[in-house]
Amino acid sequence: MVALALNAIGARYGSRAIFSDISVDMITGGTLTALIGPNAAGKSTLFKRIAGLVKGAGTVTVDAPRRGEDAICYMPQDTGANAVLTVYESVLLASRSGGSWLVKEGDLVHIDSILEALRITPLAFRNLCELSGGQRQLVSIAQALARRPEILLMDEPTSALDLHRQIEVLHLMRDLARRDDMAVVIALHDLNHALRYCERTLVIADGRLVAAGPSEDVITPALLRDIYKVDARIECCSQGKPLIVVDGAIL
Amino acid sequence: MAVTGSLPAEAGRVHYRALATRRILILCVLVVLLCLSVALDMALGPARYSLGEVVAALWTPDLVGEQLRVVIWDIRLPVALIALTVGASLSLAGAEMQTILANPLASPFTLGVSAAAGFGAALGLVGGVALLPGAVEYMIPVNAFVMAMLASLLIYGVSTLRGVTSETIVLLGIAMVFTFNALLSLLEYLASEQALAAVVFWTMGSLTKATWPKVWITAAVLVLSVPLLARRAWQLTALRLGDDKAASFGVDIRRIRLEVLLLVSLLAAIPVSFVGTIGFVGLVGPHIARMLLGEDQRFFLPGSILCGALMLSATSVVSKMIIPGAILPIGVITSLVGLPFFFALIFTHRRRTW
Repeated sequence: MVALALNAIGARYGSRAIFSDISVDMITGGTLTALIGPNAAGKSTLFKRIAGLVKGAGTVTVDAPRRGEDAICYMPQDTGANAVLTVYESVLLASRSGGSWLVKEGDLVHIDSILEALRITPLAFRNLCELSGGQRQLVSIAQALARRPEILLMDEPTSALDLHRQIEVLHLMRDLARRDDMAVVIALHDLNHALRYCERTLVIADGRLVAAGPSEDVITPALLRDIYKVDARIECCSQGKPLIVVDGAIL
Repeated sequence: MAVTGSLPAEAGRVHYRALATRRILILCVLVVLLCLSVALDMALGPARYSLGEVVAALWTPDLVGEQLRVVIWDIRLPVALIALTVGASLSLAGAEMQTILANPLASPFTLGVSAAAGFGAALGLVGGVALLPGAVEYMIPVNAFVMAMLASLLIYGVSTLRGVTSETIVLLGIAMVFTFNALLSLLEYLASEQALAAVVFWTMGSLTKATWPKVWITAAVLVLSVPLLARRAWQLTALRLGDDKAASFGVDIRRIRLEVLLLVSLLAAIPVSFVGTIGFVGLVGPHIARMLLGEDQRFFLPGSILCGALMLSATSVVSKMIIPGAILPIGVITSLVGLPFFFALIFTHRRRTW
């Protein structure tokens, strides 16, 4: 069983502390965990710290068949679109950060299946620089999946997608997490998505972990008022699922 | 949405294989053109030979006349080969500078390496100053090399500082171009008429300074650098997706940037110190390769080498053809002939090139 645990981790840029003393006991394979918090709360830096791209205090414990940082894949917000590379090449590249120049048939089959799953096969031979923001984000997700991660940290993967695509991607991630025993942590701004698709939610604000637990327990009117400064209710939608209704911002 | 069990579309991999095959073909065409250009380069000159005679002199030197053998082996082959190795080295250096600095303007010329070399050479030509004692016989190229390496090492040193971005490095390079050009102008102002002429000629760049030791040295640096860069082909390609993305692919950005910068410094400094300022190849060679082959370094790296070599070799041919009997400075011809060709490529290219 894939598992990720954080023990009192912190990170700083120079003398400025981004966050400190964040401990999360168990993020397990087969589940989606939402990471929420206001802008500049340190979500991206937390992901980088977990992925080992930023050094800092504390320990990150990874329990995965492939162990170590290799099991973790961080999908940054930046989609990097200047390169003269086709979508297909860029996804193949993501799966091969070293080693032989030769590309095996199996690698290509893997890429094809990812593009198919994300329904971006028609974009395969377009250059990255010709894509829209949303299309780039889908390519970015494809790149992350191409690395066959066991722990996937996705930094706002749906921010540029239309509503239909947002739902599609979150469904896909939930299915893939269950199928491949993958632990997926997703930084989100849409809290309804967190409630609907993520089993657990972590909340960070002002450089510390404010709350962690089952999404329905964590995302409450009190949290929305304290962290996001909005008046909101949690209602039930026609399917019987929780739905945040925002009444207004607290000025 | 299909997640499990669905048969993946084969279209992607079939198309990818076709793309790879097309690129290999383009590389083969470049090799053929390069061979043709090198042969033409040897056939042309004050005494004209047919391509058959050139091939015979190369293949069976004992069976051809002494004059033909001497002209080909002792005079024209070193010039033809140095055009090839210098073009290849400068273009490869430019390609990897553009890659690691994520800037289409990066090249040995725009980062100040060529300007520094020019200043070093002028120190010798005007003031008789040898930057390395004991190398009086090779004072000019040694001076040029020392200054070019100092400029490269300064860029390298600055790039090791924390918080320095690739934009800072490019700005530093451009500042160095201005500084060394100002220093060069100062030396030219102070120089005697004879020394001034020598400095002007040197800075124009010329292949006629070619000798076999220079050919071997540039070839050796190229041959040693290529495998070191080729080993990092995937990581170098990943750098073009941006630092965050490359880091997320497991690339140690800081380390690869420093290693490659050191290597391309050597690749740029040596040719420039031997043949003078030939700026255009290092900037444009990689762009042509990028248009033809994209930025997958498995194709882009050999493509840059071939485009640079072909460009300088073809220019050498053209410079002999413009005024028969006279050989114009190659640095001048490279820019004059290369520029319209480059613009034509940019404007006829359908896709974005950076």
